[in-house]
Amino acid sequence: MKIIKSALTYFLAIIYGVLTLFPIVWILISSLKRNHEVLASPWKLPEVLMFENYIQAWTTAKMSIFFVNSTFYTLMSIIVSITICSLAAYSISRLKIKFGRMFFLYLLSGIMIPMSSLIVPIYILILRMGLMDYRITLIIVYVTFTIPMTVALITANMKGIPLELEEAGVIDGCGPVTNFIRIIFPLCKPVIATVAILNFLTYWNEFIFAMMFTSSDALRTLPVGLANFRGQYQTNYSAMAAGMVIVMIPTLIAFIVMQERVIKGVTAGAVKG
Amino acid sequence: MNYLESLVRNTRISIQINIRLYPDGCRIKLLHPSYLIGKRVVPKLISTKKNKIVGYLFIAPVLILFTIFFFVPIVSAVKDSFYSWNGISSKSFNGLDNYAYIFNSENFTGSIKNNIIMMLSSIFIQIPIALLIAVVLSTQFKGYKFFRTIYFIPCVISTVVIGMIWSFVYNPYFGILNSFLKSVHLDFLIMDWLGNRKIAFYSVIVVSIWQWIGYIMVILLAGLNNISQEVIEASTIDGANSLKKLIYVTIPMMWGYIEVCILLAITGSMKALDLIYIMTYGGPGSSTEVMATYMWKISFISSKFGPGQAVAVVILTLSILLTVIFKKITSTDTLNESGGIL
Repeated sequence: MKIIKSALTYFLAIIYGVLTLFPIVWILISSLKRNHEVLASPWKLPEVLMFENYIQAWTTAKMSIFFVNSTFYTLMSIIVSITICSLAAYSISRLKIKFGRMFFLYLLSGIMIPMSSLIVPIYILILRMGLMDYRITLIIVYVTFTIPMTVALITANMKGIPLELEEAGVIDGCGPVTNFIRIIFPLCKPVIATVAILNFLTYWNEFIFAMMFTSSDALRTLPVGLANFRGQYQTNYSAMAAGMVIVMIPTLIAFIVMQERVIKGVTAGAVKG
Repeated sequence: MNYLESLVRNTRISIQINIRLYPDGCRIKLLHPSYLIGKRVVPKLISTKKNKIVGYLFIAPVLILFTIFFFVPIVSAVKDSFYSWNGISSKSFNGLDNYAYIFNSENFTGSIKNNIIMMLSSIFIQIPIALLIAVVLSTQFKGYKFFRTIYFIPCVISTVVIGMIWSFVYNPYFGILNSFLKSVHLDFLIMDWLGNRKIAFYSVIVVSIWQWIGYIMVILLAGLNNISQEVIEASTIDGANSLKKLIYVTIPMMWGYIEVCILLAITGSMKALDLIYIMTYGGPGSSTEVMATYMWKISFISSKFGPGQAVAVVILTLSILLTVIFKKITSTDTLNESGGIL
């Protein structure tokens, strides 16, 4: 009975594993085929490994520019969001300001609101402010939309840090700023890392805002570039597959390296949200 | 008065000596008289004027950004939904005309229907599958972490890429789905998955379910791991079989987590835009239109920003309404009290 049960367990696990991975692996294999092979024999392995597809996607489809842009937007947004959100979390959890709790609830209410309802109004706002086609626009918008979750996670973590540590700091002559820099922020490193990886995934993969707020290739991100690539080279399937792989590799690597953090963050976010 | 000064005054000892004796500082505070009578000193310490100013300065950037780029757009959407505006000329007030316009449009009512189908399929198909996988994984068989990692992979890939991958899979000429069906002699099932009006939306839903199952599964797995083993053992002793255990013990005990997943399904189905944008762009016809794509088209293609804002308001209201209704329903549920986390 036990053997049957564990056999069934593995059977189910493997079946669903194949269902999950197969489309992705298929694209990976297709990206190394010649275009006519992709069309004629979808199930076969490539006859020769066509790394030219990647070169084509990287240069002709300008993936190189988009890659640099995506990296820039993502890194800047992560730095800004972590800086301002951990400051806010410190203020909410420790500094006992008036309305602190109210501010916190105000920020948290953002979790309930679906982003799609804000697409048009935020587009009009950015248009009126004359911020269209600036790199900073995308960073501001990205940071804003991750504020609720980031603040929630960091605040919850900071509340768990014993007050005694700060008392010790105060006795040693630290003000609130030094306390934050020297004691609280270093202690929050684990949650900061979690938030950083979650936000990395969000920023890197984002499509709609990146498409709305950039109108030239020089500013575009990878997902937008990939979508445009499909429009321009409709039949070059193997190069398109190579483009898809280029977009997904960084997040896959980041996830595999930091998977425990991602999973912890998702769980904590869901429970607190 | 500074804390150190008060320390000197109250305890009449030399701080210098104490700090040298007890460099970690923790012994000093034991000498503070307020500790002797069990009062906490720290809250007082922290609510000095300087701290308050710093506190407001620290929270200011987040509040300003959130207000300008999150709160103001919501308010302006509500306001603009009563005006007609094409993006160029000046705005003019037209009352409820925008709402009348969208609710008279068949594309819009169809898109609400699609949103609801999406939400229901997520609740009644995605969550049960995810629960099944989570139950399998929660037995913690050898290598379960490896499978958990694999199941989560689609969630970390950009929706643009996911949409394009599945457009390839569904492709009628070289897609693997049709050629797979052909090889197992199910030729009657072969079709243009994204080109057929009746099928296209369900093809998209399959992708959306497939993409986010890992996410739901991880949350449910945390819930399963949170259940104390004693209860499960007790039910085993009482003679419950696996299915009964799942329905009567496990699910009620982790209801809080399931609730979170349902809330995610509600808001998630309302924000479905990028996947449909990439896979079908609402077509063929308007068969895969959802509210968000309708809003996109009417605002950015037809330049009717008034009705577009009205759609935004409808999305917002509907998702808040559904969330509130769902919370009302479940809060009276006795299941919630047994082990829910919310």
